[in-house]
Amino acid sequence: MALNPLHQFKVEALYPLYIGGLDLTITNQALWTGVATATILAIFMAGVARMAIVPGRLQGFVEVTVEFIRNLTRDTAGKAALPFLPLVLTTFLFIATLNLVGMIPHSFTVTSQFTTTAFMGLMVFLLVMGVGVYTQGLHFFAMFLPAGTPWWLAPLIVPLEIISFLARPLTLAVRLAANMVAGHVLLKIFAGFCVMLLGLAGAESSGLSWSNISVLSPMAVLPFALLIAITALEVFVALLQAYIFTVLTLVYLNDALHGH
Amino acid sequence: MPPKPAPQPDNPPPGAGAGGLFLACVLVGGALGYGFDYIMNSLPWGSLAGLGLGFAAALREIWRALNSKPSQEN
Repeated sequence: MALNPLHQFKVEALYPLYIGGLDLTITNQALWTGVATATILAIFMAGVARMAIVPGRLQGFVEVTVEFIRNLTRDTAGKAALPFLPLVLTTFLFIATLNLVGMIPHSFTVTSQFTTTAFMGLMVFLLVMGVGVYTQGLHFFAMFLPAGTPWWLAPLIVPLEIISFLARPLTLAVRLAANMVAGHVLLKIFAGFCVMLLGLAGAESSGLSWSNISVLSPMAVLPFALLIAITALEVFVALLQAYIFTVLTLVYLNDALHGH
Repeated sequence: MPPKPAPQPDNPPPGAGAGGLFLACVLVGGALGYGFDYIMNSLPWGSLAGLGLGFAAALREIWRALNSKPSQEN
């Protein structure tokens, strides 16, 4: 039984696939991204398949989710940000679903991979830059010099502001990936405690048998109880991290739309 | 999902800790400095300056986060 808590984050090639010199190998990362995307599509298409005036459960869920993100968009970034609702909603659903799918045992947590989160951070960065330059023109770059800065401080403040601005997408990516990695490592470690206390960790043990049971074996109940609690916490963190990513995207979008 | 009060802009939501921000600022500063060194062939001076600036930017960000009004609980 593999007790290495980091083994679960290994990206493995499942189906080698080369098209025209391009390496399009299906890895477990790509596979579970696809599973999550298909899940979102299935739920939302089923939810809006029969539009009832009195919504059923699935339609109600879809409507509540969309309304929640729409209100969040309007309250955080203003009415001008509502055209970006499809993007914001997709971001939230994508991250939330990837996080939740990662909670299924034997699945793969795609958001624990920095490549995935880094591209999402890059997307937000390009979005903010594009929207900022589009709506404010070159005045957008005036945010690198906050109002009221003494002229002799400007050579110091401008590099600091540029660094802060560039650090934002990196923070988004690092926060999401680090939270998912930390949570899943914690789960694996506590699950490992249970296994070890039951005497199943050795290479020679082939299953639960009396020869493996020791005085300490009943103690396995303690990490197991904690494991259940941490699992609940991780489901909460999965949703919270998607929420935080969305809110911060909206905060940056607000800066780009309305100036700092 | 219960509706949560929307955080105001500039108020980081709960859980958005300053640790990642600090690390990211220092890393970005160091990367910019190293890029400068790579182009100007001036290792290690640009990297050192970049790391210093990144550290300063990180402290500034944390100062800003501390000074912003605390967001509502949850």
